[in-house]
Amino acid sequence: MSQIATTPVQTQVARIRSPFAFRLRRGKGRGKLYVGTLIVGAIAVLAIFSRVIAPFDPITQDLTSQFLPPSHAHLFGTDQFGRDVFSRAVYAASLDLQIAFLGTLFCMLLGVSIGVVAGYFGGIVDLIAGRLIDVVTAIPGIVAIIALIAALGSSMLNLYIALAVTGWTAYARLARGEVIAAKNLQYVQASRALGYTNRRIVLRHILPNVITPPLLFWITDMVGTVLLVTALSYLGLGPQPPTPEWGAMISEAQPFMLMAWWVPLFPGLGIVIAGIGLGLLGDGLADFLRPEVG
Amino acid sequence: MALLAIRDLVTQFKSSAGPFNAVNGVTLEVERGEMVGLVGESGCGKSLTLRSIVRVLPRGARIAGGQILYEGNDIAHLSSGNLTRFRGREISMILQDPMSALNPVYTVGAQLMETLRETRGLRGKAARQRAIELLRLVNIPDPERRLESYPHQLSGGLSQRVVIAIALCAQPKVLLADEPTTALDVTVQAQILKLLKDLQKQLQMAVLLVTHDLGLVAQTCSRVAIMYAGRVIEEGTVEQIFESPRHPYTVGLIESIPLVDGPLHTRLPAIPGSPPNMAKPIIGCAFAPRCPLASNECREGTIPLYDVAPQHRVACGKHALVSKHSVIYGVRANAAS
Repeated sequence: MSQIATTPVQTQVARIRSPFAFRLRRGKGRGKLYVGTLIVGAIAVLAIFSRVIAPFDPITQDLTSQFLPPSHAHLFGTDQFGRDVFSRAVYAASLDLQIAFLGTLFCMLLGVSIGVVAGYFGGIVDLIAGRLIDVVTAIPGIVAIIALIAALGSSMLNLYIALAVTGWTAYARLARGEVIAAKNLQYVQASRALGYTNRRIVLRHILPNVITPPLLFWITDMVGTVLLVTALSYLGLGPQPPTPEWGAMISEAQPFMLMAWWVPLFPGLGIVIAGIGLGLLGDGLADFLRPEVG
Repeated sequence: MALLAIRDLVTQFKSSAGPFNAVNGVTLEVERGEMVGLVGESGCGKSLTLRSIVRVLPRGARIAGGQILYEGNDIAHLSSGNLTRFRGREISMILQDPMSALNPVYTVGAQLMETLRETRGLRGKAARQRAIELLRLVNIPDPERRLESYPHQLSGGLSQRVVIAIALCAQPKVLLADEPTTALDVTVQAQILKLLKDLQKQLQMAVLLVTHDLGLVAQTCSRVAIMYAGRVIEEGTVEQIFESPRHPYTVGLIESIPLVDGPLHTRLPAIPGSPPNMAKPIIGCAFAPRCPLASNECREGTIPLYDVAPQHRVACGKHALVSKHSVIYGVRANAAS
């Protein structure tokens, strides 16, 4: 009898050993979070260790082995230049994830900075930032990016610039709204009355309160950016051939689609899986971090 | 010269119906080391007056006129950056609800030491030492251990003591207290009030106490200012205000304090009507619609402040007629049932 009675107590103790594990076990959306983390983690490992994992060089052509179907030697077959599709897809994962990560990171840094400054100082600063957000939002993103790349020239740096210039507005809106709410917190007002500098109030007392929504949106934004960048390079505006990139690979393979289905299929799958993985991760994280009511 | 002198302060709110003056010409002086009570009903602008001094104003509010002289320098029109040198260092403020005035994610020690660093430039061991002294100053037992506490681990009274300790970091000459005891239990209220009084004497610090509790003012303050509809309508020593009030509104406020030994089975006297709508311009005396002594001249022009005795000023044209017994709101006399 006593054994039965003590069992629940023991599980309780085991559960609270790690506060993070405890919350993860209870949290909503943990399924999404697990699957998303798994997919994104797997792609990230492929991307980071692409040099080790890819069996062939992604650029060197081998015209004696064009259009070989998937086999042991070439897991995903070879393309019109005899290059190993698996190796190219793995290298492409590295490039695409890097663009998705850094491209959105710059957007977030820029957007959150502008939003926090606008929300905190208000008045004329807020007015100018607000109109700037409206103007940038009014121009369709993809058109603006194409125009910017056309004007600046097609390079990685210019791609990042174009992504940052067009993508910061959502972060700015989110951060601005949160800051306006956080500014009215009693302890923020108290710290102003105590003569703290604006920088300290913003960085130590406001930013920790407002950063969660932009961070969550960041993951969701990465999904969009993976799709956007692959679409851009499909249109020839991203990294140029022979650089391995999913969108560019599909574009190059298009004329041979009917005779060599494996050439466009695997980069396509890469895009889909990366999108789903990041989507699940973002969604699960949002559910997990959202405060439970009641 | 007064340490802090407010002259004709106007603080304005923007609204869809146009601007309106929530603080409408407040004049008030606080001497070194004295405790002044600022009393009035909800919405009369007493908190806003206090917040105007350190310019921690709600969204849409701004100082539209008047002067705030601190040691003779006008701080009402300083830039926000220059005002920061006064905030916390010369003039400090404590807010109504101590539980939300502390940041929940940092320990008491972190917040104390942060303020010491910002206002006094103290760091490391020196800051820690000073933080412990401050906690001891506000009578917090076991201060070394309390440094590690998070705000949620403190009771309301302890939190308010911590808030006071933080406000005292830079040894300000003026402490603005915005209803510091409203959010606390009655027994704790008395302790906090006694603490404020002791600190005021010990540190020779001026305290401007905003409250709607006249009894509390009588116990602690040396002078009182009564506010109505954004103006100070009467100002004097505690004795003057409680013994010989010269404004009908002050009389009404004093009459409506419930007495422990008061008559049973009678209604508590109340001032009829309600405060004026501040969105409309007020002509004449704002209290005239509710005043039993009001006549036509009360509803014209602006009522000036009359000096009725040394230190005793009142904004009432009929102050000569007013005494504790001449203004009858008529309730106590006929309400017995």
